[in-house]
Amino acid sequence: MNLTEAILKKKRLVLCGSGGVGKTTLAAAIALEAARRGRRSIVLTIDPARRLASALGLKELLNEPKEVPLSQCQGRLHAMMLDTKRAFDHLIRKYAPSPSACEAILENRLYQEMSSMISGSQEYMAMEQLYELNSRPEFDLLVLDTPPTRHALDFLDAPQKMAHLTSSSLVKFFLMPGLFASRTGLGLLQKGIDRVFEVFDRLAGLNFLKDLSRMISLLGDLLGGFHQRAEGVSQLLKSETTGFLLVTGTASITIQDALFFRQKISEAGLPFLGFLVNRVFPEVTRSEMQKIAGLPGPLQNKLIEAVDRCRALSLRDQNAIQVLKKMGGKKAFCQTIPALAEDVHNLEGLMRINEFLS
Amino acid sequence: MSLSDLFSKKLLIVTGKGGVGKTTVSLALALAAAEGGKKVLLAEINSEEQVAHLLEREPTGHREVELLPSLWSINIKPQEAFREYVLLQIRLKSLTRAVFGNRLVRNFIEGTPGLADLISIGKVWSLVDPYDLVIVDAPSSGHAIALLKIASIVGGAVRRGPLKTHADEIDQLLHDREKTVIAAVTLPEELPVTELFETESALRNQTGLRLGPIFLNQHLDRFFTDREWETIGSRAPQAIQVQKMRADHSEFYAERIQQQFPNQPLIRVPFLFSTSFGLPEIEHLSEAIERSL
Repeated sequence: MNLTEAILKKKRLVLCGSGGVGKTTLAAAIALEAARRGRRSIVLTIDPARRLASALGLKELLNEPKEVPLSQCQGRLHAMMLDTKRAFDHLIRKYAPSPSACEAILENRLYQEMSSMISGSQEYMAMEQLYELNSRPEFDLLVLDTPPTRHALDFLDAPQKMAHLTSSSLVKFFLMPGLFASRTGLGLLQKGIDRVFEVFDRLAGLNFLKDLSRMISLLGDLLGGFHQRAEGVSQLLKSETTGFLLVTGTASITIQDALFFRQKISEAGLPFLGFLVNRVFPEVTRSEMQKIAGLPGPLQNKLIEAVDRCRALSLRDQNAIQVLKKMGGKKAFCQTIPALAEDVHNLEGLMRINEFLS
Repeated sequence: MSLSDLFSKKLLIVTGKGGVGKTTVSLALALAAAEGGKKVLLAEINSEEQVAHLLEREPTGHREVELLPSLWSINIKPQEAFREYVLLQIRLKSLTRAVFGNRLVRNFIEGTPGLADLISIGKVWSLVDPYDLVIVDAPSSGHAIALLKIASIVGGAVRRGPLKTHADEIDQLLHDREKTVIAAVTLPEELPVTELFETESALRNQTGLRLGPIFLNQHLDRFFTDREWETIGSRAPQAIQVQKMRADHSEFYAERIQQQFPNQPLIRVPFLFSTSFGLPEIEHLSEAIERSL
């Protein structure tokens, strides 16, 4: 399967890769390409450049799909930006059993400080959104721009981790230590638990731990069903109608990251489609060199010097592509997108990229 | 600020958007400091280790390893740092084992808001004494703010116990301008520069910390004069046009950064025309930084 087929056939495309490689821009370009080819696509992005955001109609931080007006286009393009804090608030409002429970958590001081800091909360919200959008009939293709994680595929176990945390017996234990032991039949382990308890008390004092636990437990009660949704997300991601695209640059550090990601994707049993090698340094062609010929001698020499200086970069990039092709596997594609002599931050720029997507 | 001013500090925290070259610049700085006679520790935080890889050495993991003369490196892992910390506080191996052997506790550590950050910055704090200079290759901007903020949050929320004492001490170190400098790395491109501005204001508003020197990485000087470029016109090969844009942007963004932060040192770290990237390239950058500071 090549990239064009993926854009036409898949239901979900997940773009991953390390920070700064251009995931957001390429995610937007892919969703746009799908729309131009008649599909109803939505790009879920994390943190687009301001100008790209406004080009996509995302000036306001809304956790709702917004349609991007396109002229002469058969399909439709929506864009949505993920704001972790707001998304969390939204989720709590949606699932809270009562308005008072809702207020209790939204006003919890720790929650306010930490809802955007809960480790993996951004990854978790991205997965929640994917799950929610997937159930909506108005989109044929979801393009997910993943958060720049330090740990390749953090977002995959984010729902599971959140489920573990909120249902953590330790949290319940901090709230009602006595009850915990007798109810769960862990009486025999009481001694061990007492020791754990003692350690945490010595470190931070129990009041703080109770505050913290209360917040986490409230969150757990409100959001409930974590395990079930975590399972659902996991199935979605592994499904044949999903495809993973790995975005990478050509610098050696970036290639290293990409190969690591590649391995993780395989290990996790996810459908890997191929690499998008972004900003590949263009090679100077013979016809380009012929054009130089007409210039005055000294300037011609200076240009040749400049071209010579660039050879190292083309060589670096061609080497990098060879490595990726070799490591990608037989079925994977390796789509290169050349470095452009302009910043991409609007629809016209995305269209320029689209020329290289097939 | 001169290089010796910078290296007279105890703690240098390097942040910036993902992919701007934080690790490269941190390593180039560490190399310059080590060559200047300092005992330097370069700390990565819970990352896919890059420093050792760049120097073609085995990963260090969560232990201090001397990779080059006087240049040490560690990749701080929160789980391990927490174990060390608890052991230090409790002084009982069996008890520490009981705590960490517990799956419930592990889930709690992994998931508890800010705990991994607190432990990581705490580990950094504990390493400041044994070295002349600790350079932290910090996570990218948003996460770096969380890292710098967590000690003050915990110090405020916890009422007693060693956790409070230590959180307060960490926060003090971060705010001690004699000892700590926050540096940022950026690129001559829109996103990284926007993020630099946002990071600076978030630092000021959320942590009360000031941003120090700014490193403009992959800076490219102009190669052609305006007149030459006019003559070349559309005959410029695509590759040369791409380079021309980088040079134009280098000038444009350097000016924008200087306008925004007229009092902060701006160090231009040169763009390299090289096929591979290893110690010789880092040495080159290190010398360039020494010259411009």
